[in-house]
Amino acid sequence: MSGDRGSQGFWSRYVFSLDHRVIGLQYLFTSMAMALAGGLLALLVRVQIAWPDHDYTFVSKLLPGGFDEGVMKPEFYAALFTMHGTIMIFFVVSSALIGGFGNYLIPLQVGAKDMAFPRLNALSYWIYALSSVVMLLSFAAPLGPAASGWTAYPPLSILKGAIPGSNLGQDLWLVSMALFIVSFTLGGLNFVATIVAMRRPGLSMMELPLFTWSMLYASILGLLAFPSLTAGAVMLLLDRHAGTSFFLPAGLVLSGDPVPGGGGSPILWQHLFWFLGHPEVYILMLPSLGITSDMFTVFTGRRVFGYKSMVLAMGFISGMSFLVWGHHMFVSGMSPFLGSAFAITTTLIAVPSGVKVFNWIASLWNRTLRLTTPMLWGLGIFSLFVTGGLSGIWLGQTQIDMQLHDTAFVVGHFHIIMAGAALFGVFAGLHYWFPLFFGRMMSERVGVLHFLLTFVFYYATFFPMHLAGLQGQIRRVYDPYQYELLKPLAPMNAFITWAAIGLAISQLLFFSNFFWSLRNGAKAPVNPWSAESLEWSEPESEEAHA
Amino acid sequence: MSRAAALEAPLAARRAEAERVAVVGALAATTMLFASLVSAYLVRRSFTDWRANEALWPVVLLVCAAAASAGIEAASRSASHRVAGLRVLGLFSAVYLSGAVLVIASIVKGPSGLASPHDAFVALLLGVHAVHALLGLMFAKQALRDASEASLSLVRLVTHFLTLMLFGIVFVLFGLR
Repeated sequence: MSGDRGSQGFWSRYVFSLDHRVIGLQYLFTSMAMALAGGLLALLVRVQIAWPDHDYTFVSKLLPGGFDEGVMKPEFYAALFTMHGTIMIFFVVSSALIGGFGNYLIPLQVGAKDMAFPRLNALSYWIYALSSVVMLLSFAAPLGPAASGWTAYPPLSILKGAIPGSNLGQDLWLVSMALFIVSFTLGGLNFVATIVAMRRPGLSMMELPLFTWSMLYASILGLLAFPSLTAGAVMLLLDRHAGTSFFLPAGLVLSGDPVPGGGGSPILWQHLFWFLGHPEVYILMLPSLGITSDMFTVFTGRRVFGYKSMVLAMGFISGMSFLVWGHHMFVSGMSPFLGSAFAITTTLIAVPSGVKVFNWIASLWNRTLRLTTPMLWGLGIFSLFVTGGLSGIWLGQTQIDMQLHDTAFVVGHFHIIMAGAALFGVFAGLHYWFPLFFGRMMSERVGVLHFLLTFVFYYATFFPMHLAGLQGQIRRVYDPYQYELLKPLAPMNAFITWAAIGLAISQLLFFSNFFWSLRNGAKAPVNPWSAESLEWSEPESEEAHA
Repeated sequence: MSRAAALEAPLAARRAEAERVAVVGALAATTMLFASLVSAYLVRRSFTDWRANEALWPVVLLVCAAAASAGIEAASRSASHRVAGLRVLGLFSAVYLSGAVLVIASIVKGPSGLASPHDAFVALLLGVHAVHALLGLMFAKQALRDASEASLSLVRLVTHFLTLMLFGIVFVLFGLR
């Protein structure tokens, strides 16, 4: 381990540590703080959709810039869904699963003493922390945070006068994302080098837990996909500040005045963005799928069915994820032939996904299941992966996507397959590895209750969105009921919002269980789940408990 | 050393292998960055406002990059040429960086600034390459402190990669304008 922990002071031991375990926990705690922010933003979005004309005097006192006499401003609503998406995707789920679990567990699971480059690892965390602060600070920008969606589509994200969020808030968004990409790239290089080169002598790749494999794939995806967003972000910044016209189209008129310059292509940004955006889906999901497989191994008492095919399936999914970005752009005016090609590649991803599903079924079939809290979360991921995957096949077809694009159906789909499966992976991992991290057990009773409530409320929140989308509910609309067509959906939207509130309240159980167990949980045995992976047999793991 | 052998080797050898993997990973990420920028260039040049830049590319930048590559190659091949080769690498890298800054500044201060998309791409691609050259130089300074063959080999890889990238960029910017 990096240095003698016992002789280190507080700052070098817990703050500026080079120890992969401390850095992993730093990622986890920062992600949890960001999750609180991102979750609160989601609640505000849902409340606005359900009751757009309501007077929120109490909330408006907390966020005076976002409300006008108790009623939410449209631009603030746009900022809310922009920041919610950005924070949850990059700063919560990616960071918790990859930064948190990856840092803590990869060296232990490959039998290395630490990451290959501990200083780079610490640098990676601190750049991530800085990017999180910059993203949150954008709420204090004079005209508010970015409001052009987490996809930052131009020209809205270029034109400073378009909406309040297109000013300093958008710049801070871009700077924060650039920092995040640097952090992720440094972390990814470290992960790949550690897994490939620092394994304990004699430990072959095909003996690694599937979680480690998922980390390898996710890191490679990040290394190869994030550069396209880097390129786009630099070009967007130049369009905003240096008079270039990479993405700025010609002929725009803003507040009655023609916008100078132009001639560029907003669609070009979409290509660059989604070339990252779709692999990012798998960067989020693969670790969860790896965790699920490992849960099934531990809690059925036998290695997951078809280990090699699971490794290959994850590899195939990772490779294919670079060939499907166009399915996010079916309505952008692309050639129908190109659309068909993207539809085919998208549908092909169902094949390795099916391999995983059938292997999981075979892993559970006729076996005695230990229904512990982590196992329940694993089963929850399984459920979400199937449900969300099926609606994904719909959206991968051009004809159907043309009808459903930018509707609540899409929001329901990606919250189940991407956000849900990934978030459940965070919960599965936290419950499973909590004894390793902190030397104590979380309460199983509270954990099971938290899982059941979250599972029910999660589906209650996001499944009806599919129905709303099928009936024409458009996403990102400040007041849906300005359209006669959507007025009948008000009760359904109110139901969804109540379910979201229930989902949020359920998380109090998790936070109370987590923090209570840190001090008061039962002392954990060295290997509480009788697992066979290396992290539980690491001789230094008891030191970590201290 | 093969990867399988590296795993059986002592910690120092595994660290060297880890450094090699990390450098290859970084170069792969850099390749994707340039591939994204070049793809954007190829799309943007099909638009109606595209006017190709008639200015000649300062060949001296290519010469600098080639000389830097020659320097590291000489340093790698012969111990007696090591110091001289590394000096050539450092000197020509510094000249290249200064030249790149001058070219970008001249474009920005030119009559149309960055409003011409072709000029903007020249400045952008050259700027991104210069940033990577600077990072490469910093990496070389750090890696060559231990003066091992493995470090020298990594610096050689990075230098040749960056030179190749520059020639590729020039081909795209001026061969496909």
